[in-house]
Amino acid sequence: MNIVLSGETVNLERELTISELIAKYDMKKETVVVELNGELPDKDQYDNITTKEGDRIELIRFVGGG
Amino acid sequence: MMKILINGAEHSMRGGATAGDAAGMVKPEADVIILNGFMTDRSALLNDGDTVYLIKKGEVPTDEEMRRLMTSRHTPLIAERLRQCRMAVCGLGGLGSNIALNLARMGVGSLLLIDYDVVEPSNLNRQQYFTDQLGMKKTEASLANLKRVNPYLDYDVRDMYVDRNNIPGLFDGCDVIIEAFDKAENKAMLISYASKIYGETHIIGASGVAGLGCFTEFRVIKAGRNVHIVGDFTSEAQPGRGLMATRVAVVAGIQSNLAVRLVLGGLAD
Repeated sequence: MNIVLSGETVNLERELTISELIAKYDMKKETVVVELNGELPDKDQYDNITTKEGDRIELIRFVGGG
Repeated sequence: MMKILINGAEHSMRGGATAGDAAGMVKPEADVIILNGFMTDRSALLNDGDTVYLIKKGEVPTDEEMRRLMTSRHTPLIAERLRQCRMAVCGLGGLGSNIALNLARMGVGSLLLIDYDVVEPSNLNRQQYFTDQLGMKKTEASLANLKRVNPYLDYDVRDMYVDRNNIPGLFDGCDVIIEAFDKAENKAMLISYASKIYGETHIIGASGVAGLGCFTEFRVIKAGRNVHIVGDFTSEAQPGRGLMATRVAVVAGIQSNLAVRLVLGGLAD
């Protein structure tokens, strides 16, 4: 399956949940906001939503400091 | 007759009138007179179109004088639109204490200011507090400082810790919500839940502000329909890469300027 992650086409061997996708890129679910096809899905749904062919995804990483 | 702008209001004066005559008309007790941007004395001759500011040292301008001052600096349409706005600043640390001051100086009419913490010595390297405020609640210290900038805005301070359970209702009536927290988890939590509940409100967050990297590393990304995030997305605060006044203030400036731009729309350009 191909998705577009941060503007680049990425091939996934199988569909992943958003939580799995975050973990695959060594990020933590608690500090990432995910944009999926122009929307910001509910954080509680990251374990349930799975990637689909052609999804456009941004993993927005928050780091500490402010 | 000459038209003279005195403390922001237009007055007609006869030819040959002096700054002292202007003071006599508007503020006889004035002890500082500024004519077209330069300090002068009562004997200075006025010319048609001159701008005079009369100041009594130690006196706070009235609400009406303050409005005229903001209107003349910002133009009437922008001043009026900002006066009608309500903006929330979540976290009053390095980002938030600077953002709150920027928004007060811009004349944003209503400010919701949220923090749970107290001012401690390590804050003074970048946060807009002063040595005599150590130990004060940041909400109270901010309120005191902001009132010195503009006593006539509506300040709504909340000494509280924001979590997902108290977000509903918290930002009702806000045109903009600014995320200025310190911890990454709190940032992501606020952006995620607030964007869901307040889908019509502009939300502006920050990520990656530590250290002394060049300003060209900063980006503003748009996420979803109503969220913007500012920062370099990598410079985490950690031992050896602390939070610095000069860089944090740049991001605070970008966030506050974006907040103002978003509510002004076409008026900003």
